[in-house]
Amino acid sequence: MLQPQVKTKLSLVALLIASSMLTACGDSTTNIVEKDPIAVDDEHDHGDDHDHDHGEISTAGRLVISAKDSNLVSVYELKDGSLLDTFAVADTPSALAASPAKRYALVVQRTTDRVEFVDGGLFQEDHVDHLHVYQQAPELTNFVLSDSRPTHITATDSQLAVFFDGDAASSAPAAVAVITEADITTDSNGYPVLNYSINMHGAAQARGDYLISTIRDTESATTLPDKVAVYEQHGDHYHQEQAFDELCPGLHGSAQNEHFIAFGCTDGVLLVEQDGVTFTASKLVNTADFSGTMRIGTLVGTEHAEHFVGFAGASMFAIHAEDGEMELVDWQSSEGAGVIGYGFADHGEKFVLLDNQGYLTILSYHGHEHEAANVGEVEQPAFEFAAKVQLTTADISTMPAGSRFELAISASDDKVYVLNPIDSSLLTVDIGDGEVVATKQLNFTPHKLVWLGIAEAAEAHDH
Amino acid sequence: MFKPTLLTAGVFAALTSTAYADSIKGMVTDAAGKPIVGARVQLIGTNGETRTDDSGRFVLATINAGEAELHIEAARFAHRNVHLDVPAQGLDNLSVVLLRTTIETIDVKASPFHASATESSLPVSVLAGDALKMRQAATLGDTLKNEVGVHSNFYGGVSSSPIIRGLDGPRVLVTQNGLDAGDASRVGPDHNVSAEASTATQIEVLRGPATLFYGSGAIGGVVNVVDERIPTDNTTRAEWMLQRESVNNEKLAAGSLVTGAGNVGVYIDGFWRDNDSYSIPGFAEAEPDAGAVKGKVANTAATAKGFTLGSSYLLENGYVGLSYGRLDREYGIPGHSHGGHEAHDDHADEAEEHAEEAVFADLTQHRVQLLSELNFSSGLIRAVNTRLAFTDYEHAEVEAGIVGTTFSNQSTEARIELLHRPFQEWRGGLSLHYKYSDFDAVGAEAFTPPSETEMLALGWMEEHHFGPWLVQLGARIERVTIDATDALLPDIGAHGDEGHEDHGHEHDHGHDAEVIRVFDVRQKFTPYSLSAGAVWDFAEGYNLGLSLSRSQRAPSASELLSFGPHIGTASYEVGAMFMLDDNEFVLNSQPIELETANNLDITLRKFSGNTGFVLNAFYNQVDNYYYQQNTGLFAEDGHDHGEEHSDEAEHDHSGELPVYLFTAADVTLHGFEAQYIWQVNDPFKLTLQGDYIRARLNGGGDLPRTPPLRFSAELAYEQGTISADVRATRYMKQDNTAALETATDGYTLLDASVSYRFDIGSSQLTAYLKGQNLTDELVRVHTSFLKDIAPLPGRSVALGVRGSF
Repeated sequence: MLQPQVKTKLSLVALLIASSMLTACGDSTTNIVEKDPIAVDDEHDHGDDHDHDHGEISTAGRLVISAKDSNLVSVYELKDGSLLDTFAVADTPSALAASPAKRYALVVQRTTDRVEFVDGGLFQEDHVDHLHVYQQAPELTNFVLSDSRPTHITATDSQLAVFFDGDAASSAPAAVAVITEADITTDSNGYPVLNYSINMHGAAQARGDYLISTIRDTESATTLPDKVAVYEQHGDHYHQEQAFDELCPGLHGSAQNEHFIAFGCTDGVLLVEQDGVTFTASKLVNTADFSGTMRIGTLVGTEHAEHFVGFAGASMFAIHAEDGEMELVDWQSSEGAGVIGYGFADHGEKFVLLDNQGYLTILSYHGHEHEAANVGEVEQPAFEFAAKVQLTTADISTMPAGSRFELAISASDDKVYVLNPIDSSLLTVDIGDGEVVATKQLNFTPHKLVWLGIAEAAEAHDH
Repeated sequence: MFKPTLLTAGVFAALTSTAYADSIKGMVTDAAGKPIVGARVQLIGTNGETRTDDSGRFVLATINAGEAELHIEAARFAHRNVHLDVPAQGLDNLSVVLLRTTIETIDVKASPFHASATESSLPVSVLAGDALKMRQAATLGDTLKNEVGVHSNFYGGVSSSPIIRGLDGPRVLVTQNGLDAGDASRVGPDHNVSAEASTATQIEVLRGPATLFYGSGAIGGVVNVVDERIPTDNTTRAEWMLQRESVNNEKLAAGSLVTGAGNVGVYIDGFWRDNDSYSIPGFAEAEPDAGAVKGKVANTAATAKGFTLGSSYLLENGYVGLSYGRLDREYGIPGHSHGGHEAHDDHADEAEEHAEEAVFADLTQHRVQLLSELNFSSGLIRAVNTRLAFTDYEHAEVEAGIVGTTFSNQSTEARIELLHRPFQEWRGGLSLHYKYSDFDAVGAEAFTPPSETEMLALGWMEEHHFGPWLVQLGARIERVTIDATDALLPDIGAHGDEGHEDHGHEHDHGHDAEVIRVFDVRQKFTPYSLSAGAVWDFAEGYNLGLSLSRSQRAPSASELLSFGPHIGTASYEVGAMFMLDDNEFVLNSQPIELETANNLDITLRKFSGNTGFVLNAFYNQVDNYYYQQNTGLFAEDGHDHGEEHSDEAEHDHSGELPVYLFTAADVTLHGFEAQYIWQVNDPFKLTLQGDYIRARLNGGGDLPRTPPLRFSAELAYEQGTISADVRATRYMKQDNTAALETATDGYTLLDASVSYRFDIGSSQLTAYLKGQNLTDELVRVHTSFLKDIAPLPGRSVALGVRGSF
């Protein structure tokens, strides 16, 4: 009696399948949902519509935002949140960065060896008697850097150093291109390049005619360099002037301020001091606050801040190069918080820190001026906790794979901008008040962003 | 629900009430009473099968008493069906006489029904054995081009697909052992079919709708490449061949081995081919440039290699086996032209530039197959046939060392056939079929967006012998879904032909920033197929086949969603999801219809005696036939997008392509195929064949690239250790052309071969000399996309040796 049952079941299965498919026999259904269009830059029809009469010029600036897994970058007007234009670059950007005067956004496409440049359209020119301010339509420029694996980008007020890591697999050596905004504007290829003979995950800091850049031992098993040298520009290339004996094992992370250039090493921070044409190096070794494999791997500096900020994982250190001091900063991190965005903000008055738990920590920067005058008086720390802003109530675990919060800092006012890929929103945070003042819903999943506009000079924090 | 259950119980009762009989013993002889050795005797509808011994005798043991039907076949003899009423004590002295035939009858494995060239309601043909070895070519279309009803869409010798009755692409399914070849050949003529002829044991062609067995992709027919990668026995045997061809210096080595021990069968094969660009007696281009060079079709070199490993576990009642195959092929893509404006003088220098640009394709495929046949001696299910496949296909089109476009296709397929034990002498069963394909095209010439296609189908087929009538019925219902999350509709600035000459190198459209519209598309289709066929044995040695079918096809992802320059067809392709609105492409607001073919096929055969013939006529009325309609517009070929900003690649040869839109229209295809074979005397055999197809749009006009009327005559000689043949094929002029298509002149091809057989030890060897296009004609093929830039190879002589043990 088993067999009839088997047959019955079989018939049932067959009937079930047949009936589920017979419902719309010979039929077809179409379901089409139109998604957001991709704007394509037609580079031939700009040029005439540059807005030369600058009525009301936005001081809030503009934001360049890239879309996730997409080669599209959009430029927004911060004054009114409007989308100005969207450009298709060659490949999905790995990073966005700003040019020295924040006119251009570097659209870094690391794996495809390109850096493209978006002109944000806001800039000023020195017309001798006044700084002439321009407000134009954004544009994808013709200027492109093409070399192997562009990775670390460092900027001063006038120069940009793009470190191309090279690639061992394709035997592409590393290189550093040092460009100015004028090179981008004029689509020049006369900028100097430092060419290495091997690849490395290095770092470079431009200092006018000089370039402080890293050296990797050809025998090294790691792609990280362990030495630093001074190079001097000779036309379109550099000559090595001086290599420092002081080693910097596992070099990663660099920054500069008015007098010092700092590099992160596994055993401390290598400090190079510039006095005119003389460069001297010294090592600020890791303090007792370092344990295990902790090391400074990220450095932040700005011309007018005496302190560098160094990150060893989620630990923040205030590094005073001149005094040779390295102090742990308590930023009141929460459990499991990882630092994913940081920078001096509000004209150098503040330091902001974005963590992966969705909090923006605001620290006041006091520089060195408030050092205790007398022995016994409590020294006011350089960085003082001011506020912590919760950016989202969403479940952080719902963060899309490959996404994270991203931070952009205005160079014209006290705003910072945070991308929240969980709900595809753009948050504006007033760091003076310590609150989210605006939320804009984006119609795409954002990936990276950078602020462009006319920077207002930071106040000097040095003496 | 109650009724089917009752019915099922009834069925069961009927099936189990039969008593076992003893056996059937008998003898198979020819008309002169001489025993036929090795004839296959099958008890139809069961698993009983045996072969006759040296005295022509056979025994079929333990069979059921009652009605029975035997099918007896042997090489060079016509098959015969014998109806018996078997008494309980069995039958002892059954005598079967087989008549000689001139028609090769090899069973088709692509059909769950028993089918061969002489016994099927739908026309089939099989290329196997020495004939296959002599005709095998680097590409599948060229291998089959001399089969009746089959033409090749010749693509410079580096790629070709068989055209069955004027249909190819998404209408002709190419399978390997009954499972989808899983390549990208259905979307472009320059995409090679990933099946190899040199290691195949047979290649089968089902002409006419075969959606019943294979679904949407088979509305025009099926080509099934069969090999022994999953051996069904483990008798040690091997085949190998070495060949060298003069016209392109092709060197070929191929071999296969089946062996095993105990219950295990093992299979291994491998092949390697390498050729240079081929020679032609004239200019490659129909309208050669001033600086053109005679004698070669540039960039048609290819190199290919592959291997297969398989093993099976042999059971009392069947087998289960698993195989892995890998195929690598690199081939030039001739005339990778970005223009298709040969007629425009201002592009002459451009064409020359392209000739120097060596574009080649680099193809890799991994294929895993699991095949199983299990027979059950009792119960309702007589046999369960299972076929599973996973293929991972990728080909990159490489230009100047840079990968331009990559096509990939990951597909999974499963087909399970459940054949029931005969019920009231109806034989048949159910087939469950699932197929999933993840197709991706990435790069500058990715004309079709990434898509996923899923198909689930349930088929049912039954057949019954009523006296001289064999009736076959079938139905299939399918669900096809096509998902594309990013179908793109760019503003291509397509424009008419006027002022065309100005569009060389600058594009100064005055409009504002362009926008690419993006759509998330989900298409669901529920096509069905119905088929009824009959074979009437109206006289001894004759039969008449009749097949009526209504088949539906879901358009393929590329037919629906394409939007971009397709270099393989030198056209800018736009899918049916879009439509033209005043020279601008917009979303199609009309529903996407299923393509529906109503096909009538009539076959008359004579298959015994010294003469034989097979005559087929067909009439196929197709509603909503998707074809590429020339819009008269031109669009940029998009060739150097993405490179515009790079320093090193400052191409400024942006060409333009004619824009073709996939449009559904009603068409009628009709034609005939005829084959006549005369065994003149013992060594000489004459074969005459011809085919003709007419493909018309019902609204007026003809479909493009329709094969011309063709006749051929072949005289074969076979005596002792020598065999030879000479064949002349006449292709008539084709002037039933589509809009903007040009007529093609007729031509005659002369081929000949001679073989010498000898033995070394236990190996049988054959040395052969094969000549093709002996009169060195410069031939342009109407069915080729490269008609105007790549003629057929000139005179060629191949020298080879093959062996087996």
